[in-house]
Amino acid sequence: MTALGEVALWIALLLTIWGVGTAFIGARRGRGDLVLSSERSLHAIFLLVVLSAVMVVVAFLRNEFHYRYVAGYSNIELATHYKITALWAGHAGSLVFWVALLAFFASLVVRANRWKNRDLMPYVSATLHSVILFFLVVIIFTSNPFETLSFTPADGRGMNPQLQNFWMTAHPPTLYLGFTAFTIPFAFAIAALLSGRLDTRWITETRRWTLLAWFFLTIGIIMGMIWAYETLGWGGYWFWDPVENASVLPWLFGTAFLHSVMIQEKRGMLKSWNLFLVLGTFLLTIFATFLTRSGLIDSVHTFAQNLTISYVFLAYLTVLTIICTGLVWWRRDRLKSEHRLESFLSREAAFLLNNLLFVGAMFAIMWGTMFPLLTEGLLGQTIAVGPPFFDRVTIPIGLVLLALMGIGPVIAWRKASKRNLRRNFTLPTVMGLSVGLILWAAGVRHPYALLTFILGVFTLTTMGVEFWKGTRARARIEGEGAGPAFLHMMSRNRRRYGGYIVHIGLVIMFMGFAGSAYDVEEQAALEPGETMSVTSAWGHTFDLTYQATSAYPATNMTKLVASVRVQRNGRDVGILTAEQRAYRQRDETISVVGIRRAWNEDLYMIMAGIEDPNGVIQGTNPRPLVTFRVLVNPLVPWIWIGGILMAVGTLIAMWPRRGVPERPAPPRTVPVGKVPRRDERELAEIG
Amino acid sequence: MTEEARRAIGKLRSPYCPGLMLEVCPSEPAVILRDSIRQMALDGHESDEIVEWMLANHGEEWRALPRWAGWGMWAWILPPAVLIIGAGVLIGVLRSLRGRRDPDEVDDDGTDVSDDENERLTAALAAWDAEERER
Repeated sequence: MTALGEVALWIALLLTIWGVGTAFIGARRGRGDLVLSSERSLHAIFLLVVLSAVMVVVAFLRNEFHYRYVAGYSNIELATHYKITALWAGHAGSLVFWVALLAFFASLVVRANRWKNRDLMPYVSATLHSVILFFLVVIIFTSNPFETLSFTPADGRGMNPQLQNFWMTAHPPTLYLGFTAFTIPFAFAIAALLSGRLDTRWITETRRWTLLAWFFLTIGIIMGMIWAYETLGWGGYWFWDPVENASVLPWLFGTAFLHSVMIQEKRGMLKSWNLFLVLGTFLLTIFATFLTRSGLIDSVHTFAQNLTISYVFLAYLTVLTIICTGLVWWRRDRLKSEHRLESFLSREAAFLLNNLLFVGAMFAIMWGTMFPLLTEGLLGQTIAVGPPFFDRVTIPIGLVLLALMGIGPVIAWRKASKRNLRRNFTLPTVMGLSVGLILWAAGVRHPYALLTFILGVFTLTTMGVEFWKGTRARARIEGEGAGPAFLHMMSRNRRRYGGYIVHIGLVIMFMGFAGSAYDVEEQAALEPGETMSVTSAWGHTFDLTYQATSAYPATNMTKLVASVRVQRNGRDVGILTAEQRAYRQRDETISVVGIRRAWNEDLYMIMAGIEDPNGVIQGTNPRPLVTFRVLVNPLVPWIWIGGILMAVGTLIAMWPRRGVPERPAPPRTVPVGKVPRRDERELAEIG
Repeated sequence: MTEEARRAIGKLRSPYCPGLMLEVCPSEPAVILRDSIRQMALDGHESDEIVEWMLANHGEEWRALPRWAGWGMWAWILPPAVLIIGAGVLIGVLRSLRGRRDPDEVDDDGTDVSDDENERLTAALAAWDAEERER
């Protein structure tokens, strides 16, 4: 039965070829029936790819180890929910999952636009088909999850233990949702270029899609950080690993686009720049996929792959870049600005500076990530670039962006007067500097941390004042109380105030990052009854007394759990446990950290080593010596709070308004269920 | 841990964990290497000496920060260079945008509006102002 999955992939492949052809021919010859056929093929492709993905999952659930993919990523003892998530545990299955998500979005966008944007849709459909076609070719010819072994093993190798974690269940799908959703704005941009309809309509139509993609990518990245923090046992959440970097590259470009697009909407400027950003964002998602799946760069995240995949993705990336550049060049005459810039002291200029910094940060991270590979290829000698490089290069850029987050939303469009600047920025500047002075007096000397707090408070104040002014004005005009006025103001200006909440979330996140300047770490080997102490940056001391280590057999693994009594300034605050899990099938051991969370810091404990683990398991050594690595990480909880605020703000910004019709009524000339004739469709377009 | 040891460990990648810094690599040999570095720092060695000792024993590829010399310099130069060039291009573009006329902009000498129209406009604005005041 599971072989149906491969058949479905082949049929989907044939349909994509049909879909690309019919969409293009339909567009060029004005054949509405062909365009409609192409759009319907996207629905069929979605169902076929979902069928294929379901068949991969069924193969996992039925332990069909004759499939290489199932044997490589599962075993009989693996928990059922991990057998489902095993779909994206390896390269081949995750590509099927990727295409299923892409086809879902493609099907959705076709349905949402069945009565509008008819001039763009043939090209949108053709572009979406062509992207799906590429991935299906890669899956079928290089990474087929239905590839069989010449024999059927009794059991599989099992899943990588580090993937057997809640956050790893949620992180890849969310990230993939972000990556694949960016294909929709890309398809509209290509459609706008091909059709020559380069006004702001394609941008308006894709704004919500861009926000959706950005939303998923943001929470996907944050979930990855939580996973790294809680599972990898390094004590941190971001290590500038090449694969982490790869996910942040399209995020940076996408963020630049979300800002820059406002200038085109408001002022009709930067048309070619916006195209560059939206096309670049999609290209960077392909680049990220190439980096993750090529296996060219050392990373804990990469899928082990051969070079064939790298060449295929590199070739696709090159072809796409040439096509995109060619199209923009072809349409350059229609991409001129409609308005002029009146002043360097304006919101347009602030947004442009913001764009420059986002693109600069993207380049710096990409350069640092690729530098070892480039030097190895050019010089035959690897020059490594580690996390300190990325910190040094990106922190100054991040700080300027932090300031711009406060300046951009309140500085006037066109030209800011001195009065505008004084009125908007006096209080935030005073607040920021005051907090800086207080922190300095309290002993905060780390320059970046201090600057982060000064600029963060500056930005938070500008945002706070904006909320206050808006609420007060509405309360006065409408005669409402502060609460209803605030809610009505938010609901009537969701994009604006949702954006402000995203900014607030990001500021809080930045402050959380700044806390890492004051991380404290101690390591000690203890026998039961012995105590180690660690003093937090806030001044209090944690005493950790090692109690005992116990062994627990569990499905698929054996757990060694060390328990530690924690006292804060001599007062008992509870027991903290850290684990080592030995996975039988893969013969691998991982650490599970113990975290005691407070609003302002995490007490983070890793069981770094244990003497005679076999003795503990067999019960012959009840008092093993355990090495504990203990960290006190200030403000880490703020990072997750900031992330939640960013997600909430994005949801508010993209939430559709009630009472605004999402689609016009279907034209009466097109009966339901009938394929409209070409003249009927043209009539529908004209309205 | 002494500051010198912390600084040295912060400049090294781990030979035992792919892609990870030595300071966070959980493997047993990495723990031993960190202990050796701590001991060297306690013996009075400076962080740069410790880094050179480690690289001499394990290889140059474990340096986390490219040197400010030779090819390594390019790692440092290019990102700020791109930002500076980008800023230059941006200023150029902004200047050119400042010089370009709005298509809907009227001439400064007001020749698009006749005297008669101008009078009517002034009167209409005055009436509107009065109406606003009354409200």
